[in-house]
Amino acid sequence: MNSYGWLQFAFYIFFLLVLVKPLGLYMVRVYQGEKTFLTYAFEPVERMLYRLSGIKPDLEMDWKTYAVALLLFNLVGLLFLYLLLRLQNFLPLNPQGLAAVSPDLAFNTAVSFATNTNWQSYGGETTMSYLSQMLGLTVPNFLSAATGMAVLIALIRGIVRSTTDKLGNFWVDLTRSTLYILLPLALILAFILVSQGVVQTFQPYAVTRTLDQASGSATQIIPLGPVASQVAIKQLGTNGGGYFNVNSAHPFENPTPLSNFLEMLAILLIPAALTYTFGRMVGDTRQGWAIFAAMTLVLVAMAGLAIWAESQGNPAFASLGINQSSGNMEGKEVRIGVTNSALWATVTTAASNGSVNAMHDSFTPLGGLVPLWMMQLGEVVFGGVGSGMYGMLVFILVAVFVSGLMVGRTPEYLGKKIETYEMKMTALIILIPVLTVLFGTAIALLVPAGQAGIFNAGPQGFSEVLYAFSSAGNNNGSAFAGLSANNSFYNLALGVAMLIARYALIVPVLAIAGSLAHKKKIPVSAGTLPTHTPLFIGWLIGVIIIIGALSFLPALALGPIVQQLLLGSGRLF
Amino acid sequence: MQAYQEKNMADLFMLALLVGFSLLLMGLLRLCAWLMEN
Repeated sequence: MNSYGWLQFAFYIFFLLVLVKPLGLYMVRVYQGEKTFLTYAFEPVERMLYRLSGIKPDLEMDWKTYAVALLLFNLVGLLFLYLLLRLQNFLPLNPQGLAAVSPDLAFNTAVSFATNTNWQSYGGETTMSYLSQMLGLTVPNFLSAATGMAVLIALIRGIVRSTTDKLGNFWVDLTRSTLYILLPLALILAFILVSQGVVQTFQPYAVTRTLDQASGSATQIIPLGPVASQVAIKQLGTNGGGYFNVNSAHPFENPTPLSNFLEMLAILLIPAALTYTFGRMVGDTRQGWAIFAAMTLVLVAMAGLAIWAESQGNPAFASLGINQSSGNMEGKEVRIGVTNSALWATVTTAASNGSVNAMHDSFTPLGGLVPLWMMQLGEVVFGGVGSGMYGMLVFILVAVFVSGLMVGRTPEYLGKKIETYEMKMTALIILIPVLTVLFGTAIALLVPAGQAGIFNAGPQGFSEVLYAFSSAGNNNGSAFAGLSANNSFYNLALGVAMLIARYALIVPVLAIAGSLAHKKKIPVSAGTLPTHTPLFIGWLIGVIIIIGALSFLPALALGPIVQQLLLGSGRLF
Repeated sequence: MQAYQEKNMADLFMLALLVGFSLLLMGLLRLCAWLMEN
């Protein structure tokens, strides 16, 4: 990689760092109900929404009520989206006359977008009407992101408050996240993207005459649609579901270097800023910065590895005499190149975004290992909006508990004792995705329907399946490509994996919030383990890496690791 | 007609899966609450 590549990488981290505090502070104000510069514009809308929905914003909920409200809201959203996709052929804004989405695909897609995963077994331009894209997919992009943020805020309140069972009001947290944070940011980004050439129209697909009349295809259909409005929130909400099949590799979805940079920045913007929000809400910004530092260190190391691996080129091509000085360009857009493809791949899997601007299946084995393992770490290196931060807080509880055991101190975090109940819930939260990924992969490899979808032989084929379940089982949504996943088996299996990974984790997270809120605050003493020091940051990273390695190293050895070793000897798959 | 009926059955299956999973989650919620109290 040349110096321009490193400079781009440095710019990316710099801009992220600069934006953390202002956005984080703004979100604190939003969640604490303080006045912001948008209050004047949005407060009447907020109040009207509460009145129309019969919500009493001052009525606080305990963790069970909060969880039930969340689950019911998500179930209704799921059913609505399923029906919308099944009936799209009867509904307006379908200028291409696209047919109804099949039942298994509608199930998979509804689950995928409601759970903030955005795994796509469909190609957008050949499957979804404009109404389905806007009302069906863009709306859950907002609401699923807001759901994750609401859970995080409830957990933070659980840490901050003492001797209470009240965690706030789910409806208020959901509304404020959407109205004051996601909507304005998405509007700004959508307008910038339009200025860069991302399309936004209700016109039917364009038909053009091609220059190459002799090849038999005299005309070409160019898909259009309301793209910018969807792309903005797909990045900001760490959703990732592309308007077009090739996602942000498509020139109408990501046309310029600036759009590429901003879309990539938007992926980590809110998850990064939420670390500051956390620090501020718990009354010690050092705690937030420590988490930000831990996340950034893992991100930089993994992005560096991916960029380096892709810069090396493919020895199999080199042996054919193909110049590899630009790196491994297979499956990458020439205009985007190695650095921005590998950086995007790392960022999109660090966050639970899942949008792509290059095809991960075509990465070198080591380069492909990076996005795969980033997902398997549990989507806590920035992670999804809200979900990444509450996932990281769960890992912090483990780190605090284990260090407490090692030195014989009572484990405590921010004045709250960490006891058996929290550790039981923590074990559930960490083990559920691991089991979902590994069992899902094993089942897919055992049954004929699962084997039928695999495109490549050997470790590459194994990685395709492992990647799919790692993506669904951690609510990422990116695809390795190669796997034919639009069949009943994968649609159902991955759909169930996404449901488990999202909701079976949210319930115990809220239970931890409820348990912590009940506890008294204990004052800081000489026996308190400081959780903002470089030592703790290192320890936290160690815990994340060790758990990730213990869970997935054997599986990775069967896929990308053995493939990388065989690549040197010229074995291809 | 048969294809129509098969699609209807598929729809019912998918909707039952979603509702059934929601009930399972309510069960998980009860389990977490029970563990907290005991």
